Amino acid sequence: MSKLIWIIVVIVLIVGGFFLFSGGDDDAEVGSGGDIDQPLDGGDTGESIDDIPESEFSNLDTSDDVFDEIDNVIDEIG
Amino acid sequence: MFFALALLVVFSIGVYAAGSSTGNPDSVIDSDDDASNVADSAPAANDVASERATRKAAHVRRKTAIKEQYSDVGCENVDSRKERIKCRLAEGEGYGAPSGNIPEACRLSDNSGKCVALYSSLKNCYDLEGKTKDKCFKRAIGLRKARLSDVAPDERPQKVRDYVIALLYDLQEKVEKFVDADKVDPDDAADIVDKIVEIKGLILNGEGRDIVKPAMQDLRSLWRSTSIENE
Repeated sequence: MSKLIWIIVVIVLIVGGFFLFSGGDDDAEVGSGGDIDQPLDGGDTGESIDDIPESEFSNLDTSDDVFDEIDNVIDEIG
Repeated sequence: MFFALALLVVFSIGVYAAGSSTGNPDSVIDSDDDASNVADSAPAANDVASERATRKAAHVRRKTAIKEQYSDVGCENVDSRKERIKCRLAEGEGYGAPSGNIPEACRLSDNSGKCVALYSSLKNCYDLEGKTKDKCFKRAIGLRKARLSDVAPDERPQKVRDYVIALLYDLQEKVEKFVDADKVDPDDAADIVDKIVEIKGLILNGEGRDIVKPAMQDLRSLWRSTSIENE
């Protein structure tokens, strides 16, 4: 009898482990729920530009500042 | 003990006296020299101010002449783009384009509606300065990142184009302010703005960097060769 119990326990553990490592959670089965954790288009995590401190931006005080900034990005126009 | 203290006090007084004196028996002459140096530099400063005033007066006269030249037809009915630009610059910030008027660069664009919408989204940014202005530009063109390099590769080329348009518009605004302040010759300013409009047209119509970059270099050379007061 005790052997039978042990066998049952082992089987439960194996089956449980199978589900655990296969990611068998509700979100994946729902499908669209899995998208909730995906980044938005363009790799954006949904943050607003207003949350970014101004120190992260480029200074555009003088004409040289503006010309330099254009030079920095112009190669990206393709 | 008392004698040592007295010696110390005397010595200290001597050091203090030495440190506080000019040590120069001709100090009166030095001050005279300083006065003569100031007198010599005054005419030079006056010359610079006089030249600046002369140039400013010339710029004012030129603006008046341009306004008179086009007073009968109005700026918007002038055939040449550069002359239209010159006319608007001469009229100054008080000039109000007719409603429905399309910006010069947008007239060159295959999609003028989209171009006008871009201008509308950017116009409130030009009253700002420095990094605040940059943040405003990037918000207006729909960015959520501070750096264009962080934008997704498939989106980046169009966002960069919109951003460069905003920056070129900023240069144009600077030129217009210089003209209003009589810091630049209106004809030279019109050359610069005309070049800016040309480049905006290239970008709006999808020209590649092999065409846009040389045009930008020409613009920068033109800017540097133009005499702009206190720029």
